[in-house]
Amino acid sequence: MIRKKILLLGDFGVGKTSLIRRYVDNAFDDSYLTTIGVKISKKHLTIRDTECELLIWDVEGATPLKQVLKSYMLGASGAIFVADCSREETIAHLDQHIERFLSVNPSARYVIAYNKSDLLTEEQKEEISCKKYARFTSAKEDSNVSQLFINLTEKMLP
Amino acid sequence: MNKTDIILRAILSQDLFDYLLADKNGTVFQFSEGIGKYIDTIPRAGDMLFEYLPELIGYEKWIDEALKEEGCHHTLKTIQKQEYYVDLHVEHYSSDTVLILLRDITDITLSKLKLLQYSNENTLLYNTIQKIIDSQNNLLLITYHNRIEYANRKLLDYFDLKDIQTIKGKAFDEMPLASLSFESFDDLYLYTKDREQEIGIGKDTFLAKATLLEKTHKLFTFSNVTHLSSLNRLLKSNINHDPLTGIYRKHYSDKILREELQKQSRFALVMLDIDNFKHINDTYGHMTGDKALKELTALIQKELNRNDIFARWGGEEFLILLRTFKKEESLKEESLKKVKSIRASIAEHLFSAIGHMTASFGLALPRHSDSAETLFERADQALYLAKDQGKNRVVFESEADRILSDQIS
Ligand SMILES: Nc1nc2c(ncn2[C@@H]2O[C@H](COP(=O)(O)OP(=O)(O)O)[C@@H](O)[C@H]2O)c(=O)[nH]1
Ligand SMILES: [Mg+2]
Repeated sequence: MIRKKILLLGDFGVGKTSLIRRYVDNAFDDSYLTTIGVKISKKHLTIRDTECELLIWDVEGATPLKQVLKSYMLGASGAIFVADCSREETIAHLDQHIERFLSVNPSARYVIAYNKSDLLTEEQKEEISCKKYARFTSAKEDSNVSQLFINLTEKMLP
Repeated sequence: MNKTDIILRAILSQDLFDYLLADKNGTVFQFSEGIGKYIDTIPRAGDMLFEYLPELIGYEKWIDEALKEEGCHHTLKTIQKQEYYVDLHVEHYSSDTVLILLRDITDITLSKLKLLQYSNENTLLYNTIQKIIDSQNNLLLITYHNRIEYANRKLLDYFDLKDIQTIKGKAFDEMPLASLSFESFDDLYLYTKDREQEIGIGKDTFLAKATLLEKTHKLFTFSNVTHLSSLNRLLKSNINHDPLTGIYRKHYSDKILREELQKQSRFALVMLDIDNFKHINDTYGHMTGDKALKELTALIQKELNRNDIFARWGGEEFLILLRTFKKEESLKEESLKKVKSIRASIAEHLFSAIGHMTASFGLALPRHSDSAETLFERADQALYLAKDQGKNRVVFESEADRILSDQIS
């Protein structure tokens, strides 16, 4: 069995914890509870006949004054960068998060989630020019969530 | 602090520290009692370190280093284990044993969490409010000593300013607003404090309004109405104007006439009707008829003053309110002269495609007792007589009275 450490990274409040909760427990909560430090969850999945165990790191979101500790990123094979598509600034910050992560793990793979897609209309979504490796997700409506994790895992497998 | 001390401290302060000892292969062979609360199984010697602490997967390098180097020490901070938070310390114990210390930081972390939650919620709220502020009209906040304190994004963008720092603390005359015909912010405040006032900045028109904040700061809002006011003008003109000829419609001239009567102004009412227009339409078609109407209105407009009101009443019926008079001349003389000249210019004109065309005119002057209806009636009667007497002529109302009474008797 292959074990992979992945992190969810992005500004606070974009839905990192909610995406993990949806993927691992298939649950969602509307109220906002800030994450402090880190909490890891495990998830088994089989891809192309390969059994994998994902160690999913939910880390405290970045705030304007505080970046995610680089020590949390050591040994990661992949990352999901999350933005809240209803808050432009969280999209603008994606590049910073990606750069910081790749500086620790240059060969790691990543995908991007434009989360809370349920808050936008189709036209509004069209106006957002998505980055490479990005997709719209909704933890609330369970849209594209497992695809997000599966897609990353596929990229990380040899 | 040597290793024995560390373990001693760990054991002595069990509420703060727990520990694990693992060998080179990552097998746990010794641990403190309190370890159980951090993991979801009952710990036993021989278990694997990574099963207890999957957080350390990816940190194999730390463990290798800790085995090799005395004094080596790494920390992974604020890890949530069950309902606890711990700092994980990876330390050298011996060349074949690594020491993992778990420091319980639950209490302090929960207090930090409360603060973080509060600050994050506030940041979100602040962001939202900032967005609301930026989506508003142009806003400018001035301190009590008349210095710029704040301007929102919209205003900065309007004046091509990068950020607030470029104008913060500046005075009135250091701001692009200085092009206004005001002396100071106080001046502008006095002008706009009671109600919205239109002011021009550059080529644009703004509605400006001042509000006093906290007795010390003045908040100015500027809403750009340049496009709005031109749109308004366009709308108004569509409502009030006849689409074919571009002159006023009946309802507008009616309104003006009633106002003039109310004000008892000096004016004359002229009604005119094109002679045999039905014949023109039937012979040449409506397109040619329409063209002739346009030519005719242009012709009449040339004879009129800017202040006169010229309106299309129906198909080929028009109305003129003559409102420009020289003081000395009598109202009747002057208006008759004007209308006769209009009649002549039409009669002499060669209309394209149809050649000559004439019109008949009825002229009436307002009396003190008049309502719009009685005035209209007299003008209409005069027009009727002009037609009756052979068309292409001007009839004044008193003549109409006389001719009518002649006919009756
Ligand atoms: N409408 C909507 N709300 C979401 C979604 N995902 C998360 N949220 C809400 O956004 C807030 C922050 O989510 P959270 O997962 O704690 O964000 P984190 O700080 O990135 O971990 C919470 O109130 C969630 O309920 C989503 O897909 N749609
Ligand atoms: Mg979170």
